[in-house]
Amino acid sequence: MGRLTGILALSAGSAVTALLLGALIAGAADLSRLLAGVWPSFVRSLLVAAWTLMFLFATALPGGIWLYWGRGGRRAARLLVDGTGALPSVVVGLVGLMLFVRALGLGFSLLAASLTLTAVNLPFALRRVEEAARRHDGSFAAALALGAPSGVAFFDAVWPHMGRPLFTAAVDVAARTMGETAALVLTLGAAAGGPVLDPLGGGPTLSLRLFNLLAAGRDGLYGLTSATAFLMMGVGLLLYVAGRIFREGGRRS
Amino acid sequence: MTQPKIEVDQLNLYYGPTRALKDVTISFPPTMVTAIVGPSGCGKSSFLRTLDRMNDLLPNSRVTGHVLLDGEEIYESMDVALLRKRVGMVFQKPNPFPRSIYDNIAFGPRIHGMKKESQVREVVERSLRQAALWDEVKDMLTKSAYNLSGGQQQRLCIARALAVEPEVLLMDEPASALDPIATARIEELVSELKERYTIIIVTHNLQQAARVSERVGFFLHGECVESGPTKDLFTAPKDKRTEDYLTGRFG
Repeated sequence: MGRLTGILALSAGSAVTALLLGALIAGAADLSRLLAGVWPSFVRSLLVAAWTLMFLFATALPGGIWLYWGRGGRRAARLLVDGTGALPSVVVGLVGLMLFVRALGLGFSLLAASLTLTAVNLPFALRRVEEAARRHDGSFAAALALGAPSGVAFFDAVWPHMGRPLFTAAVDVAARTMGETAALVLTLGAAAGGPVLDPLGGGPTLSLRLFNLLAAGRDGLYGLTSATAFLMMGVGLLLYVAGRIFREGGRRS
Repeated sequence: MTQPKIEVDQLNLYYGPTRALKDVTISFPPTMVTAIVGPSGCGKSSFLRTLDRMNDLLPNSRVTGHVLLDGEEIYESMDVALLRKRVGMVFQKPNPFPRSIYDNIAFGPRIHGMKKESQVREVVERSLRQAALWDEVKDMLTKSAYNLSGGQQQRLCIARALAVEPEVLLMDEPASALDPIATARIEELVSELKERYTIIIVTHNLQQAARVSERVGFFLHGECVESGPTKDLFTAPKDKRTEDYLTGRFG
């Protein structure tokens, strides 16, 4: 409970500090523009992160478990995972542009962006799930040695250990997603700002907004750019602290 | 002569193209402790894992030859879950489940169909007593098994293996990760358990093998070079390689 209060306090503190710093740099005149522009971008960033995590939960969790305990073809799958994990996000973004935006007809949308970010993060997430399970190989073997079927052995002896490492992996993915720009430029960049909560709608996320402001290159936008950057730093800091707290908790327990 | 509890004949184990065990032939009499000794990498643990088919889990592993449990071939028609109920295993590192002490012990009986909680409770107490742990944990059965010391965790793992009432207990260097006091407790326990169970213990420690076992098998480069009563093998080894290992010329 105390830890949760701490996280909430840090969350509120980071957001307020980021806004105050942003306002200071942006100047009073730009403050209303800042608040008007940042808020939808912030919500879109959160939505993209949440959907990416949701898609990863549906794909990386079973995939990582299969890499751990499945039979046949795992070596080839690992090679594929490691190979695709080394691809720059802009390359995966191009694949996203061709596959999700054009071939599947999702257009420049939050959904296409989330699916592309899922592809960007999938190799990392698969490996983290597999590693989380592999750390408790001994318990898995012990359960099998008692005559448990492999499903029972996994879910009774390994799965309960995996909560914390998976949570920290989710925090890492969320942080990466918030900061990702290259893949989003190709899958969301050309979209005009639409309704914030529409999955098939578009509009810039925080990182895209930052990119657009910098690309515009006008001096007057300096304050807004800095303010957006500070807000992203605040979110990043919050995710980092949340990850650290859970990692420490895991180590102690 | 008594029928061996486990009889191994011409056993070969392959990991892909690598032959890890070569024509191993050895038998294990019932209710006796047999120690498997040999230098690192000689195939002791791999051999132990063939006796309850734990090697089946490794990709590309393949076994040829025969392993008979009470005369029945374990690699043919025997159900693996049933085999592992009959042949329990204790690993090198204590590996309790992320559960309470009670649930750790109850895990085995429950997966083998024991439903009545009163019966389970009885088994938990009996197993903990057999593992000489009951007095230390009887007031903290609902606490996490991770609260126990390393030595206690290893005895908990032994109790967990005993809870499914195995006939054979395989122990893979069960004391190698423990301090001398905890090691002594495990050795005492092995000596007590041999009255009821056939125990096969892998150890690096020749003194430990001499203290706890009645029979010894010496492994080298995947072969079982020699096996026989501990006293005979330690005082008058038949094979020169056994003598060289026991006298410290290699290993």
